[in-house]
Amino acid sequence: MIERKTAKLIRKIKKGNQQAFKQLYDLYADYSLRTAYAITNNTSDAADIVQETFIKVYRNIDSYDIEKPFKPWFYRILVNESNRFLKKKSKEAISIESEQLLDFLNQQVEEPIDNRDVTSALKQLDEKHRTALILKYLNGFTEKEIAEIFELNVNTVKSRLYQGRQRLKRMLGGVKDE
Amino acid sequence: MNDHQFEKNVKKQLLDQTDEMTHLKEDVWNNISSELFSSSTNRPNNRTRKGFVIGLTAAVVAAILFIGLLSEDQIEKGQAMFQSLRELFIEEKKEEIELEGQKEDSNVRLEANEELRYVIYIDEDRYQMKEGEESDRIETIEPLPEELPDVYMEITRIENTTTEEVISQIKEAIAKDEEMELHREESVTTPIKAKVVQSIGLEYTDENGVTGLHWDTPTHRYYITEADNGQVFVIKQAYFLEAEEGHGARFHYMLESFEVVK
Repeated sequence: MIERKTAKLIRKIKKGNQQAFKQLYDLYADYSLRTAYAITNNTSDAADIVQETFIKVYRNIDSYDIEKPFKPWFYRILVNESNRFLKKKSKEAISIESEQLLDFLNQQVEEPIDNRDVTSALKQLDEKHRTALILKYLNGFTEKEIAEIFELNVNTVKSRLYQGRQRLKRMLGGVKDE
Repeated sequence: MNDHQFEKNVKKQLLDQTDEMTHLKEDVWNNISSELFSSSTNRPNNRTRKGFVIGLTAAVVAAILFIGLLSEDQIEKGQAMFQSLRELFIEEKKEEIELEGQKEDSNVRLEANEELRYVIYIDEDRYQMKEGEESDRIETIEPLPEELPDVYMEITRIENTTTEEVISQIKEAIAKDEEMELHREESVTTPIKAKVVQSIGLEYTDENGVTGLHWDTPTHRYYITEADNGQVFVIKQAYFLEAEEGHGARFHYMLESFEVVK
């Protein structure tokens, strides 16, 4: 149902209909904001990522093949945009004073995790495991769809999800360290 | 905690912990909107408008009776009946029509298609009949500028079908059409007794930043007749919104004279 509505909206957007673009935004904004926040754990970055994602979607809508599902295409842009932001952030972090950097790193390692604080636990995972888990649990993507988003094969995605889930369980107290 | 409970918990926590973000939705939109739409020239593409030649679905086309399939006997019989059809109706006549409140005399000429067994009078000063293999088309004598959407009235006969089946195939074709959407369905008694399915072009934002239907938005009206011995006629009128009172009204008057002859 939502895919059909999306396809209709995209046809309108391709013709230059700005109201249709707003409707598309309304359909996808909530979950893209949630996803970007879950990936970055930073409100301002998440808002910037979503903003850039939608601007890219609008400007590149002609390259989108209407015969293919929209959601994976959209989330590929969102994930790429998030990675771009994270890389930029990590470069900025390297440039801060070494003492501050050490404090920052120590804080990351030593910070106790509430066993219900999933976003903090996710933050401690590396980006590839974190994003795969978010796409699965927050967005409900199948392994095949996640593979399309990352442009990876399904087995690699299965492996990332398994490893990510195990690490998350350990951090949240679900299983003991092996 | 088993896997299922764990996954359920992760999902719930992710939703709870990201809920605050959704409050930024309007702010983010305002930024996007000012970035993209502060100038009306900032559009995803500036392509020229395509034509809107979208016919019936392949399924419908496949169901159409081809003249070539008729046997020689049938053709001979048809030619005889064609003569009689012509004899049944006056070749030319004058008709008074009303366009935008103004009365106008129109010279109309009989067009009879023996194979499809119908007659119609067409405004001979403005339109011509082009017979095709699958359907007949009434087009303007003077070609319209290329940038305008199509203007024509097309008559198709479909056999071994029902009105409902044809309506559903037309709606399916509209749903697949990238340029059009379903606008209205109704039953009418004028200009002919038929079911009508109307589609209309998608709204778009023009060069002044106005979003909506515009003067050149195409509209297609499909008149689907009642099935008679498994035979249904589809008369498709194609024009654009500004031409509704012109070509649209003239098609309406011409269609009034449409008659299926048994």
